[in-house]
Amino acid sequence: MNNLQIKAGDNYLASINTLTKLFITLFFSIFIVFMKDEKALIFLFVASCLYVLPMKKFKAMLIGYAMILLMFISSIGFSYLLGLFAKRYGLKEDFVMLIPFLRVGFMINLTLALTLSSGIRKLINVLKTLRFPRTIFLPTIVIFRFLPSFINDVKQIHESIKIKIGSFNILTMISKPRLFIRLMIIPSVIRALKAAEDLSAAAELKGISGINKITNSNPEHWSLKDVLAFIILSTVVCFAIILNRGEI
Amino acid sequence: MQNKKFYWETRELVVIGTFAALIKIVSFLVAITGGGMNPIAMVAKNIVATALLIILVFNVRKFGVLSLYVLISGMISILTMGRGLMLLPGILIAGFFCDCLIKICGGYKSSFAVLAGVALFDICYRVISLSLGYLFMRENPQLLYFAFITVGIGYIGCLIGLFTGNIFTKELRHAGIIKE
Repeated sequence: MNNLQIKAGDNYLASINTLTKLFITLFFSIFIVFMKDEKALIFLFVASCLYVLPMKKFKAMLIGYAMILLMFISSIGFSYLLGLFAKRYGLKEDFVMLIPFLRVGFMINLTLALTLSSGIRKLINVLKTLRFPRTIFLPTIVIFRFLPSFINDVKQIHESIKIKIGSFNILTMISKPRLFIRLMIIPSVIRALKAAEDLSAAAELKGISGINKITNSNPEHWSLKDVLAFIILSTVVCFAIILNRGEI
Repeated sequence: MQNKKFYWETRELVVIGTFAALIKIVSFLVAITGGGMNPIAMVAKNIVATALLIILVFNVRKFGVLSLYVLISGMISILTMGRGLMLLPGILIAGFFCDCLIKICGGYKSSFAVLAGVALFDICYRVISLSLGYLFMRENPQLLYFAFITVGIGYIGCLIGLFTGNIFTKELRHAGIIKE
């Protein structure tokens, strides 16, 4: 986990307020749906690459892009197969695959920038102090807290399966469904229920059960960089709208 | 100092958060183990997801549990992929209607009501997802026919998951992990 954390000051993204980054991600998640011009999407994708590049998390970026590329290649294969069916049923057979993938790539860049530059602790602190009702912020915090420990549990469950039956694949899942449920699903459920008990006790003891008002122990301050980020955001949005309308 | 009484207890909120994460991770793991997008892996993934949702509803027997689960799960999707924001209003309404259905059909203590509510929720979720999928892939509307078949196969898994979840819950009750 240590290599995922970036100290503030390492790059401009780490020094921008987490709320600003959260707003940028949420705003573009809606905005991107309305973009349908290839040029506008390529522009946004390049802008998002420039946004995430200074983090120097090239490995995470490459994994993300490799996944997109893999999806892109498989979708080209599937679109070829669908094209054969489409021809038979008289449907349109020219599939436009680049646009949906530019949308996904753009969102991956923004999500990487948010999660890798802020880290779990800052995100939790922001969620705690956003004045959400306790019915929303408590389960959301739990998810962030539960994930790392559950990933460890899954590793342990996987190891125990290896010891008991060797390798575990789709054939085992089909041929021995009861074994699959007994060895993988039930331990996960029991572990999750136990973790829920522990976490609820911890939440009440730490005073984050919503009864007391919470203050951020490590508040992030607004700076000129946040203002600059909003100005750049507005410029990018305007330019993308112009490109999308086909005015350039 | 007297503690304020809330409709949702801390334990219930934590269980909802935990299960929202669990459903996402376990479905992903099953899909990966199954080799990605193939009919068997899709059915298996939906069996597991629905079974876990049934356990969650039986564990937190309160009006609004489905709506709250949808809200939390949607928020996580928004933070990770952004797509959930468009999906959220629709499935939130669907969750609320299914909560009402459970309440009308006999409440959260009735197995039939819970199974009917979750079954309807799974249908609504898929219909809304397909509509949003159309919005995202509107350049290729013909893909929707194939998406419809894929979603249909996945729903078979949901139907099996309803009964699997019911059996799981009975076993967990016997073990004393889920309280009556």
